[in-house]
Amino acid sequence: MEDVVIIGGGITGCSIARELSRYDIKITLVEKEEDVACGTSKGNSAVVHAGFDASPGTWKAKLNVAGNKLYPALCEELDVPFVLNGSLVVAVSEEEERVLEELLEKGRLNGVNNLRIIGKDELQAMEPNLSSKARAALDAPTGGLVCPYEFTIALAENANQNGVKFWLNAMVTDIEKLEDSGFLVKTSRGSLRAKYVINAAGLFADELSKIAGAEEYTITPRKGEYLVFDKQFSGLVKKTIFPTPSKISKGILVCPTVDGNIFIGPNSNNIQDKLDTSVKAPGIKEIIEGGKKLVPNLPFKNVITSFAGLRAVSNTNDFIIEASKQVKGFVNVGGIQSPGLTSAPAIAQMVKGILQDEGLILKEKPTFNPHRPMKKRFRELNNEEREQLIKQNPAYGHIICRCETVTEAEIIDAIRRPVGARSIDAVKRRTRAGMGRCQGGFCSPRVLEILARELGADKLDITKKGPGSNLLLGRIKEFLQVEGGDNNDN
Amino acid sequence: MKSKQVTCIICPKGCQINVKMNGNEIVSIENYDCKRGLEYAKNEVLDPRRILTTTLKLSSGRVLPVRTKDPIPKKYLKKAMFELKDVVITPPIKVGDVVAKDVVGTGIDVIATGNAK
Amino acid sequence: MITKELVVIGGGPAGLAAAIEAKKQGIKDVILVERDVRLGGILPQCIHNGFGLHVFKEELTGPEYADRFVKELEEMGIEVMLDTMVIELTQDKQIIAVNRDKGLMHIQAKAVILTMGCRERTRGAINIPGFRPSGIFTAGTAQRFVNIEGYMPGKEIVILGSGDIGLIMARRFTLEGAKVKCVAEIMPYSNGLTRNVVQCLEDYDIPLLLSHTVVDIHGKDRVEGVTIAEVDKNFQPIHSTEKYISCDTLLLSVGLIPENELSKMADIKIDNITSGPVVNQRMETSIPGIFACGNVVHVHDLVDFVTMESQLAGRGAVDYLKDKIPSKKHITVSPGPGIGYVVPQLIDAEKILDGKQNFFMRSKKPMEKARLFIESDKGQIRTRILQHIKPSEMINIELKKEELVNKDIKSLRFFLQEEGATDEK
Repeated sequence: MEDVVIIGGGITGCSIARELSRYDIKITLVEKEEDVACGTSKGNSAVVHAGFDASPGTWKAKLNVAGNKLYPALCEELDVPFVLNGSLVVAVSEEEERVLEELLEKGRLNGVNNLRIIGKDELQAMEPNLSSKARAALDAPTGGLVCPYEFTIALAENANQNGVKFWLNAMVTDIEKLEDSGFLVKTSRGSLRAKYVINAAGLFADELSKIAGAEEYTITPRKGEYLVFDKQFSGLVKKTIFPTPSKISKGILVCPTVDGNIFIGPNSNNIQDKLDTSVKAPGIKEIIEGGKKLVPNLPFKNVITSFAGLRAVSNTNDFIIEASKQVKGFVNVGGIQSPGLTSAPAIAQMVKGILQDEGLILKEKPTFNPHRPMKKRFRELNNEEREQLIKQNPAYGHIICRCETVTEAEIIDAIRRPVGARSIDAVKRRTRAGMGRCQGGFCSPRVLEILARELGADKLDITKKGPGSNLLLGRIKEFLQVEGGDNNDN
Repeated sequence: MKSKQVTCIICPKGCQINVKMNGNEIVSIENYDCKRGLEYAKNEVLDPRRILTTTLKLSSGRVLPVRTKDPIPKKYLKKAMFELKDVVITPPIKVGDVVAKDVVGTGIDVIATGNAK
Repeated sequence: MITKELVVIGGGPAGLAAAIEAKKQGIKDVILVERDVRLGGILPQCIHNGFGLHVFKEELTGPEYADRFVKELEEMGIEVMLDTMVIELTQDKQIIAVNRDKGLMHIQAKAVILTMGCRERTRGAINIPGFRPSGIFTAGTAQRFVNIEGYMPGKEIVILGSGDIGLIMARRFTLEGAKVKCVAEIMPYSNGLTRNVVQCLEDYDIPLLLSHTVVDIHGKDRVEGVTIAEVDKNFQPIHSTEKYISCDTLLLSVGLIPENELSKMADIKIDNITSGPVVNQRMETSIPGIFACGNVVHVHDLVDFVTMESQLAGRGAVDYLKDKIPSKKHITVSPGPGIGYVVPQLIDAEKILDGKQNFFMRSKKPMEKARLFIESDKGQIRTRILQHIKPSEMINIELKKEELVNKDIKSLRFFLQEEGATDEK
């Protein structure tokens, strides 16, 4: 019997798992995909928002500001890069300047520190590549950047290290309330008994709440598309550049990443299919137009990839974080759209409180270790450090991904770590191998080979991102069937 | 009477040469620009040949690049592939070594184009 | 710190030819650094024939072509470091390289030849919409899986782009029993050599759809199909022509980009059009003593020209090491109308080797017949009629040294005029 089963291995589920791993309770996290951070957590703007955007009094506003403050220390503990680059909301008209005043006021009410409005000269000196039409901006120095999947993975690793079990490839099919107490959570990998169930199922939270017989709400997928530029344009903008927001969205931003790329996006379109992360031509057009409005000289010849993410938008338009009144012991954590990434650490603390209110007794575990195993990133070391490292482990002298300078030792580590990588994309998210300008053209055969070797698997069984996404379909000559057969044209 | 279109590859112009055939006999060749093109078109309709390049399995599990020593009739390319389907080569092998003899009864051998230790 | 007279970075056809040539010309202390476990660069996976017609006057496969140079290199006793990656290069020719056995090495070279080759353009670079499933490969990556590793990455294949590697892979997949459904090319003409269109597509009745592109990729885990459409004159897809083709694999053969991360690290001047270093008559970059040749300078369609160009770089490095006088009094060479690029971009006419200079260039569009004008700031040098020009087939023009010296020429320009077309100079 588990004390807590968490459904969903995104930023929300993993934050909760890590927070609860401080205590002497049994926890299992179940995730339908083959890795954590496979849904909304891997396809978003990677911005740690300052918190001036959400309407005062909402959960979004409260948890954003609280989460923002928790980030620097948490990233330090988990050895995840965090950059406090600051954000700018840019106005290009008099009317938009008035909106900046409103934002400033909202920010003050939400408790965001050090907000101010700056004029054209200061703005242009700060960000010389901004459009000449930019006339003023809201400067939010507490806005930051984090890699959302790296952060989620770090939380998962640390939670696992501290005793949380992870069931991957485990799709929840039913949640039964047991007569005496607790739940039976049925998954595609088997069943689990639990005293408490936390529904952090992202886009599917509404469906799970319904399955469990808890309160009904709806989650609508809202798609956002992005384009990523080559690292050689690192520095084109230093701060996160927002346009003045519209009623429904923060707008298409131009933004650096912790890894030195620049991206543009997202647009914002409600769709039907919760699995539709396809990028569409009109969407690309839309974000190109949007990006150009802020930074006219974007290097469109050096786009390295595009992607889409789906925001989980609830019908209340706010986060839904509450214990079910209908099904005791079931906690909904749904509708975690932007600023969900920023809010996650605060959401985790809030959920802990809810569980305590519901009767879960939490006793601190003396063995809790807040630090995950040190992660060595060859590309970030100086040459002396690199030399030492190769002496200790020669696999650091073998570079597998040449665009991002990732060594064999790092790839092996990514596979062997807690909640280790089992696919090409999982290795990519942990090491950046394949994220550079050649997009894995050079390194994917090599990563595949290392995965097969480390997992003792046949190369044919190695996947890009879990079941059904195998890279190789057979060995040579296997498809030859009919002797002397022609091309059968059909 | 049958008409065959041959794209000439002698030079980048890529003439679309028209060859009229009566059974296996050439009746006329039209739309060629030079003598070499004429020769090429003749061979292409009477006895088109290609060098087959492929790989064979090595006993080590890796693969060895090979080719036919000379061009073989185009119509036998797939047959040759099928004939080589289950051939497994034991190293050591060096470039030029014969790895399969007389492919599809053409009298032409298959040779290694790479080395294997 | 290791010191070397000459370090060649890259052991593909360019690096091999350059190292051999430098050693032949008397440089003893040469080392070649290669990141792969074998020499030859991309050649070992190019198992098809068609290499060596110019250099060896016979038709070889890629592995055989490489083998000739590797044997020669070994016989000459040139030092080679395999499985070794150069991670830093400075203007002062300091190199940092890493491998498993020796760890991190600092090498001080007197001269350097850069031969890092090129990489393939990706889906992102051409912005194909759709899902991001497994089953999308660049043609070269697929070629490696098939020809080096012995695995088939696909069974039903659509190829986007008619670059030579894509065409070669269409035939390779077909012979292996896979089905290549079509090759879609956005341009109104093929980007590969005519020979490859005929022997790789026409031989197997694989349709080549010109003025077509992939507008959508379907399938969440593995590719299930693609939507292709015809494009208009501005390369915009025409929606009414959209067609779904089921397939499990999309191969991309949409161009190659010289790989110049190290060159940029050393602040070597890069030509915006070729994406490779600006080089002079002896393949020397903007930094005296650092040379570059092969696909790192501009993408070639024939390896034979890579070899010739690299031999020139090898000799250039030797000249530099022997007499150290940098080239000066450069003539700047530029492409005019109708020409995409010209290499070399700079000429010191006094230092031209063997009394003649080759210029490699590409036309911007196919032309049946055109006149090539070679013009300096001091007037026209000469013109030449060219026939059946295609952007995919490199134009090689040889000028004599005496055409360029003693005239105080400062600039040289090549341009094309379609015969019969109006004057657009």
